[in-house]
Amino acid sequence: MIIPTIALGYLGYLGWNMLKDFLSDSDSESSASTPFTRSTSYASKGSNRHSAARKSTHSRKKTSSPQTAGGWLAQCGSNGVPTGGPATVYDQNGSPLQLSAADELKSGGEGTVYRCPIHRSCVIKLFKRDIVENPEKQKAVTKRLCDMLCIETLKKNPDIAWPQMLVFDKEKRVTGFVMRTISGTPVSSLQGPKQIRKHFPDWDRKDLALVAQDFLKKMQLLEDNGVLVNDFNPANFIVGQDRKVRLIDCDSYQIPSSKGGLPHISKTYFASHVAPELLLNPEKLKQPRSSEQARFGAAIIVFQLLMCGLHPYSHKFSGAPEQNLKSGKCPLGIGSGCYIPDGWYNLLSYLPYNLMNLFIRMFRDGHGDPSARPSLVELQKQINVFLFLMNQDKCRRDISPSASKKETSSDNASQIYSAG
Amino acid sequence: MKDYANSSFLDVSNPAPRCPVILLLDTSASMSGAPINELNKGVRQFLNETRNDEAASMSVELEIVTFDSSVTRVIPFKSISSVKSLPTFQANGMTCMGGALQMATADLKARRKLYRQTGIASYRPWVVLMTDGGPNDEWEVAARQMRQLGENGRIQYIGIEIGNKADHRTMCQILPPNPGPVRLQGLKFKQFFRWLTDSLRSVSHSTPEQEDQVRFGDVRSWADLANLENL
Repeated sequence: MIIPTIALGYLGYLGWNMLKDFLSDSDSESSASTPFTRSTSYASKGSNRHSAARKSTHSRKKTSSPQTAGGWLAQCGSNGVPTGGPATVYDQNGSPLQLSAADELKSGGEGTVYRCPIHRSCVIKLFKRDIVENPEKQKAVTKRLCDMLCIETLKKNPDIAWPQMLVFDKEKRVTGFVMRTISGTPVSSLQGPKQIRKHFPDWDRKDLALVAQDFLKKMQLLEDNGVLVNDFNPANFIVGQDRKVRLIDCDSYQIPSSKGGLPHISKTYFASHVAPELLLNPEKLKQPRSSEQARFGAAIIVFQLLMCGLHPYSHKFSGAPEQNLKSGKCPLGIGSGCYIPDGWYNLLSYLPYNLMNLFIRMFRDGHGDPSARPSLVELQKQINVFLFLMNQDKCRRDISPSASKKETSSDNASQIYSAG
Repeated sequence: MKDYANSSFLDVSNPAPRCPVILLLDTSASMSGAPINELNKGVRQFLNETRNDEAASMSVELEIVTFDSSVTRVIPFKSISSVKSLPTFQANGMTCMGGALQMATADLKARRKLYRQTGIASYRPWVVLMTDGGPNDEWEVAARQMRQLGENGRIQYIGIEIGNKADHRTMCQILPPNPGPVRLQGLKFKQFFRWLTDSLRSVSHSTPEQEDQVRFGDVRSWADLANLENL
């Protein structure tokens, strides 16, 4: 799709030299460190994370049949479409920019991200050739990008890797976009207290609650602008030393159409962090998602932040949490019929009663009934209460408590927790 | 709380899904010289490079079993990041591959049971069997279960033949037919182990439900595919 210059005008900031005007080097985390820090798994070269973890435009079911002919060998080699390598891209004025193989940061399911050689505070994502060369796909992706560029609030937000500018190939087709560099530690790295201490040595539960608070603020901000997250892969939420959460991989978000009507949807999801009705009925992936569905995924991230990585659906004597997510078997609360994993009871017991109730409403009541799921506002309120209690020393803050709340107090409210 | 962490080297405070990896390594006499030297280097590289990836270091659990005239559990299942030291393998004696397979099958079963009991998720286990010969001991019964697991897609079962004196016929019975034993190009242990690290890295970045979609790297960097019929 070739976009006339005048139409692009309203999108602002047209050329390479304009980037520096709005991508300031004082963007909190990004100026302090490069995107190449080891802790940011998304930046490691050659990582197959995207192709591994994302289900993109085709709905794929996990097959329960034995591996197809070829065994492990059948999973070897690329699936044919070349990605990455050096490239020349053009801004709207036709000014070229050379991207070398050395600039490549990561290659994924939909394309390749390069560091921008002229502005270190941004990166450039180029779509795979099969998207650019397919007129229908190219048109859809361009429309989505243009509508994203219209949302000024999100574009200007320093904590979101929102598209800033389109880039073109020599045929003047939209081939990708520029976005901010985001650095920090992905939530996926915060698996257990030891990992948290590794990345944030002086943090306790109060800090984790602050991170959860900021995460919810970001989700609310998106929702206020009609945008929903579809892919709640914990690797897409980057935690900073400043207790803030930054968002990356915004390509698969649900974006309102500037013309009104149906939003731009995406069938992408992360199996362990998605509303169960989408797993049980994949046809629903073809329809726009609801805020009830998005808040389910968001709540899993919040739970994991407060619980040092534990998934709310993991329990003893079972397989992966995503299987339990599908079936609805959640160990939280009385009468759950299952036990939380060994070693986690103590940490769980210090969540305040009302906050715990919200998680129970979300993951048990709200499993089959989306309308029962608490709103982001309710979650924010109870996180604020939790923070208040910790600040007042009315609630313990350690991330690996040696005893449970029941053992340290006679508070009857702690009876709500399933001890097994 | 039961003391799992000390008795079975399982750190329950780490909620990441685990990927158990068993290396079954032939340390019989014929491996002496360049083969065992390169194997030692390759395993050391594997340990270091896999640990360097954060997701893999949280997920991969390693067990190393060597087999010659006896079977030795050199490293019992533990997180790859907690492997303190690696002994240098020496080559001598016969090839008790059957015994190694029996031990590996039992250890794998016990480990998976432990994951389930404690509520820890796991990916499909990887079993890597490397030999330059063939079994000198009773192997039929021992090999059957592991082969079954491979055929049913319950494990990634990789059989590597080193050199040109491997008992290919027996190896074809030990391993599932798809893809069957694969010959190593020369002594390219390092290249194989790099491929293994990359594959485990990719798995660690996915979730257990989606690991079928993970693509592993091109095996041609280390594999001699000349005698594989199904390609």
